[in-house]
Amino acid sequence: MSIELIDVSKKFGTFVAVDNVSFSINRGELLALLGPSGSGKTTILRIIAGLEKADTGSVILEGRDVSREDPRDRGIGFVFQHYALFRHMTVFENVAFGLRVKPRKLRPSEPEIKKRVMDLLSLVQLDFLAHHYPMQLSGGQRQRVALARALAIQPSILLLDEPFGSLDARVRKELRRWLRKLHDEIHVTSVFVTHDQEEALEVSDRVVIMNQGKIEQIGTPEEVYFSPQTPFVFQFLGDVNLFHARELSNGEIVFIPDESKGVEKKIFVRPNQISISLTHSRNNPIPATIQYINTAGPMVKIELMDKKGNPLLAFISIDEYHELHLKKNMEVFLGVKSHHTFENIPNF
Amino acid sequence: MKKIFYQKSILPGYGLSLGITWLYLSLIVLLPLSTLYIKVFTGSLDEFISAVFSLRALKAYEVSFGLSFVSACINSLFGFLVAWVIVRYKIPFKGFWDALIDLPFALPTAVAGITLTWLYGPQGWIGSFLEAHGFKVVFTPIGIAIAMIFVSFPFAVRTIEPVLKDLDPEVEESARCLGASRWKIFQKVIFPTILPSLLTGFTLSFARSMGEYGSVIFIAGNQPLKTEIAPLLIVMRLEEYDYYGSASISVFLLTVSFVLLLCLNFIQFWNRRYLGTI
Repeated sequence: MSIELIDVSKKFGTFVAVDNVSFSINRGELLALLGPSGSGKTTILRIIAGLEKADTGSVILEGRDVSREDPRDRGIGFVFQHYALFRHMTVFENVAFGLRVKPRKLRPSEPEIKKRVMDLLSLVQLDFLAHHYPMQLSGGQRQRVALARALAIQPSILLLDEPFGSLDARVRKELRRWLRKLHDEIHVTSVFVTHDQEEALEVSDRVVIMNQGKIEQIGTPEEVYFSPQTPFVFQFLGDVNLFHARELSNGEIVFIPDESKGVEKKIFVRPNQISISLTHSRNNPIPATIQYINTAGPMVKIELMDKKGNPLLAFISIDEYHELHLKKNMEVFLGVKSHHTFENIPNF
Repeated sequence: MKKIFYQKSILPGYGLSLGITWLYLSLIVLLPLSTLYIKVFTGSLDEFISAVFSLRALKAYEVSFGLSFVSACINSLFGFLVAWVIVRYKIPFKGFWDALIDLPFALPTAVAGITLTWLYGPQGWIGSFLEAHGFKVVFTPIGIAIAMIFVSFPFAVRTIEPVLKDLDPEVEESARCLGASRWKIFQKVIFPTILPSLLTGFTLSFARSMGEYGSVIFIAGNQPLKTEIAPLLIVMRLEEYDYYGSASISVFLLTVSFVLLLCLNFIQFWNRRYLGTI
């Protein structure tokens, strides 16, 4: 089912949580709402579910305006960050809840309920825990029960609020890959909220990046990562180095500027797009001092400082690191392999 | 055996604190109660049976247990309602209402008894009205129940209130998204969650009503076989210098009450099995 938000705004007191947001979600898509905390992403999710009423604007589900509908009539599966399981019920009863509370006419028979619940529990690989209580489960298991429970009512849309937010890093990675696989199997239109850019880029079909109640950019993970439209997006999706360079009239960018020539230009560079050389050259013109080296990880992270005292960050391969024999407090020269610039940057 | 008693704790002074706890409990609770039992064992079984199972005593138990049960039921229902309103709704002067709930704790029970007796008596505001409709409260079991309800009311509210406050709104929201109506949410989600505290409130309210003496004797009329409560019978026996009879009835009451409380605690334990204690 497709979802469309048109001019949705929501205020809490004087705080503008969502500021005139419009976007649409395609049928069968897995969409990530990404942004820092307070950017309004959870509020949007709750507005889609009907748990929060928008001050203005409408929510359209498959052509039907549901803005005034109660959440129980929308047929939306919602998975909460802290699972919100019914702790006095077994895992089985939790998943069966949505079926048992249906009006008598629509309620499946007992054997049907049992079959559907057990099918769902095996889908989330928890059938062996059916008769345990939520308190006896690990965080990852609870989250999967919450997912099975939301899927039991065969929702047209699945909404997940920071689904992996309270899990430890390893379980988190495992579970998000598993969610991606699950989505490819069942194809339910899904929206999940996260503040973790890695998670959003890895799992989703498209990403909506939000900041201060507004949408900064919508696009596939590749689009937003490789062609960010605003400095915020660029900065939010990874580490950034900012250079105050100058652009000459022939279009050339000069990093060690002669203040009299060209116009000032802010240059954004990812740490892995910085090269390090021991000698000054045309390609490596920027002198800097190594402050700190961290070799643990797939890339060597090097913190540096330029002549003006600005901190810089470079990621290089371990092979390169060994070739250059880099040490702390060493003088090196940096080059920029590729960079981003933005027109009309407001106060950045 | 050792394992049951000793579990490593981060609190220092395990032995000392356990010793103090046991000593304190023994001094405050066990010692006074055990003297009662010792006193009873000085007599013969026949004496004990005739004291405990006399018709007057049996009727007194019936009045005490029966009316305590009734008042605990009523208090659980209305205590729940009051707690619900105080926690869930925005009401004017909330602090005032909140303080009012605890008042029966603080009021000398004799004051409560005299006030209630006047209020429900033939000259009282409520009593005169009821009397005109042929309804008598004072000196009847209804009067006893009203006094019991009055003194034990705070227990019911104060045990439910914190649990209602702690209910996670997300749990109700998820039930709503799953299609549950308000009534179903209450019935299947909220009620089972607060049931343990409701039972605790019931237990405390019941125990308090059983032991209540001061307020009840004013309103009860204290007619043997009709409106005489067990605690009063104990005092009557004392005044007749029948110390043995008095102690026997006390021991009997104590034992029955203890068994009842124990049963309720077992129900509680079973009820909380989902917390992973079993």
